[in-house]
Amino acid sequence: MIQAGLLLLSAAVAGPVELADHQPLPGYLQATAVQAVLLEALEPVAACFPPPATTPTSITVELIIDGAGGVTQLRASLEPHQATAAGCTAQALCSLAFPAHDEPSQRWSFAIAQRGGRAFLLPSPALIPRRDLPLFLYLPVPAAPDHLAWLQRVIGPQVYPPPGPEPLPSCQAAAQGAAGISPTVQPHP
Amino acid sequence: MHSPLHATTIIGCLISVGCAHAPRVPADGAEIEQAYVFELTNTIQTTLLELDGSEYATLGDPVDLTWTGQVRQAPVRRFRDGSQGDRVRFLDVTMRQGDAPPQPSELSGLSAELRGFQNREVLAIDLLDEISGKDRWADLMLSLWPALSPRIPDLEPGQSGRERSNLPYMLESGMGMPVVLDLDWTLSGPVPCGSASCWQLDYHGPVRGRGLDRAERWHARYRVSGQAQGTLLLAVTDNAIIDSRLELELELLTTFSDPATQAPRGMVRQVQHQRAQVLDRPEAP
Repeated sequence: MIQAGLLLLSAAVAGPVELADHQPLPGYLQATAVQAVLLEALEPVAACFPPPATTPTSITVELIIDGAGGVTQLRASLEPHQATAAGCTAQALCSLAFPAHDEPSQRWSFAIAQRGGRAFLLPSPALIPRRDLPLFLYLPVPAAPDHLAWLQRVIGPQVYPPPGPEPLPSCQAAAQGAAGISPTVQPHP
Repeated sequence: MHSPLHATTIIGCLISVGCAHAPRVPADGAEIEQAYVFELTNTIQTTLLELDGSEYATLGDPVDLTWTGQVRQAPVRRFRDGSQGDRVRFLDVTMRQGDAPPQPSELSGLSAELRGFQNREVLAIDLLDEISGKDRWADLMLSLWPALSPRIPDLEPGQSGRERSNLPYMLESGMGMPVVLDLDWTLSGPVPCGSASCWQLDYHGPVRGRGLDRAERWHARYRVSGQAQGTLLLAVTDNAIIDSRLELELELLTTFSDPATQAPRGMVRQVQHQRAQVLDRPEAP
């Protein structure tokens, strides 16, 4: 069913870009169609998650689209603490990667949250605003402790030291993190 | 890729630059993408100030940041006022600090939408929230936008004129900084540029802006002032950008306040020297 969904997905994003009044960006317009198909495709996968009341789950799915609008690759990654719970899903999605060719022309990412047995799409890390630091300023952590204390006092104690990058693990890493968990997609009882 | 021009437009181009901003969306609606390569450096010196303006400390030596990459600009929608939205997509962007090796930037693969008129007057830049902030840093690359979309007055060769360029760097209403550049332009040429012939436009003028950033963890008020100067080479045939260079010497004064009480806490002054160069890359795939 997932493969069928991805085939539909490929068709959904391959349409021509039309210029019309107040039309959203092509990526966003097509993402709507992608979302609908992804939701359908991921429904059986979502069923393998534990109930959200005990383990909130999200997956980041990255679609790599070629110049003609076709899906060339799908990558999935999981947040570290969720890798174990959703390892089966990572395996399932990784196994569906399309062979990449040419330079990817578009990357759209979706985070998929599972709630009550259904999947919902959320902004992905790539599309979430980085609001770690005030705009327009480049303020590395100063070497002098008193300078750091000044910045903590003036800008805010939570801002300094700035939070380090927390990249989601790659699909492979997520799968490795889920070692010991059966890659078979099993509906959650 | 450059846009096709009507014969009347080409004739007009020979007479005046300002009349001939080429339509970049053909009548059949097909997408035309313009590919550029860019390099942008920002040399930043930071000073911490007390509320009375006295200097608390200077944060080390100036920091040199350099970005290189591609920008691909393509029209994606038109608005009822005749303006056009262009998707501006960043590709293969690297960032380097000082002499350190360049590192891939999170900016790669992300896009913004530049909305403006055919004369390159910028009305808005959307999706800035996705390309600003830590590790993306488009908010440190202000000079890129006027270099990509310079608003030029109608000029004859040898003439000078003034035009205001808008740089509305707003993430949302009330968050960001609208900046204006009041530029004096001088047109000369045609001059040789590679195998082609170009108009050369030299410009300079003051820069100013005020802005806000009301985040949950900080409250910042911005005031920027400075000077801009640049040189722009436009293809005589269609006014396409061949080489666009812009330097901004900016003083950015940021006042931080307590987010809850609004009581001012201190100020940060950054002197930023930004140099942007945008080059046409017609051979881009």
